[in-house]
Amino acid sequence: MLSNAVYINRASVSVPFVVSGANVAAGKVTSVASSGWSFQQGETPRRSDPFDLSVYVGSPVSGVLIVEHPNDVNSIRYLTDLGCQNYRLAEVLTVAIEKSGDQFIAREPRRGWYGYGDSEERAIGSFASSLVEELEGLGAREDQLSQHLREELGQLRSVVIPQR
Amino acid sequence: MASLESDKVDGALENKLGCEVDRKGRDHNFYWVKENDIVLARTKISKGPKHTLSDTLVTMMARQLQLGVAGNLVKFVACTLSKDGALDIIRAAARGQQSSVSAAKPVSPTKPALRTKPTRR
Repeated sequence: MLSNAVYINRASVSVPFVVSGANVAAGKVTSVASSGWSFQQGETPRRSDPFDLSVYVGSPVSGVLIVEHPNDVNSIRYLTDLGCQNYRLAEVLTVAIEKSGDQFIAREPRRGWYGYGDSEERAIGSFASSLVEELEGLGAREDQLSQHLREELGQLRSVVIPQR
Repeated sequence: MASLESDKVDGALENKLGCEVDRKGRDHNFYWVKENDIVLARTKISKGPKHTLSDTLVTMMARQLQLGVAGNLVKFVACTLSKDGALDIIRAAARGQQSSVSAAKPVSPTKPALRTKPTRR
């Protein structure tokens, strides 16, 4: 299945399966797949430097794969669930995880959302819970927000939506 | 490297900058910078034991606080930047964002576009 993918550095390509998470770095990389997803790991022969690729696959058959050069980004996760009873995600979020000092930082680069913790899992958990806490905190102060915070609240509301 | 201790930042934001602090969240404490009942900025610190906020985290917190660069937050915590100095930076950032939003707004279709008269040579 991996032979169907096209690897392009720092680019998004469509691949014929859903990618729930992908890790690219020098040396061995470990990942935890979402439950219910099958897991596949491969190594690309197209690069001379050490390069591991972990891919989670599932259905329906669509998705995006982002391949990054080995750098500060330890891994890229695709967040599909907030682990929250009251809210869910309206879209899959791409979250880059990097080690910084003693902490791991989980960051959604496009919107600047982040969370952190002393492990990758805690950083992801912090990221997810901070989305909900920020949404509720900004929402509670909606009438008092300056322009840029109103825009942030709007962005959060378009992505973090109440559970049906 | 511009790392800071979480308890020092917590104290500076609450006691020196006068942030409204919300500690009710499950995982984070939130710090709201308010002036005249308007929320100008906010940031957060993870709950739990004291920890070191790395250079990257300090940079992201400084951005959230509208302080621009990490160095301004470091100076504020180290008391080499005053509350008034910090608020000046935050206000200026808020004004800049407001004006850039206004500038980016399209011209209302109900208003005729400004036309400049051709100059005679």
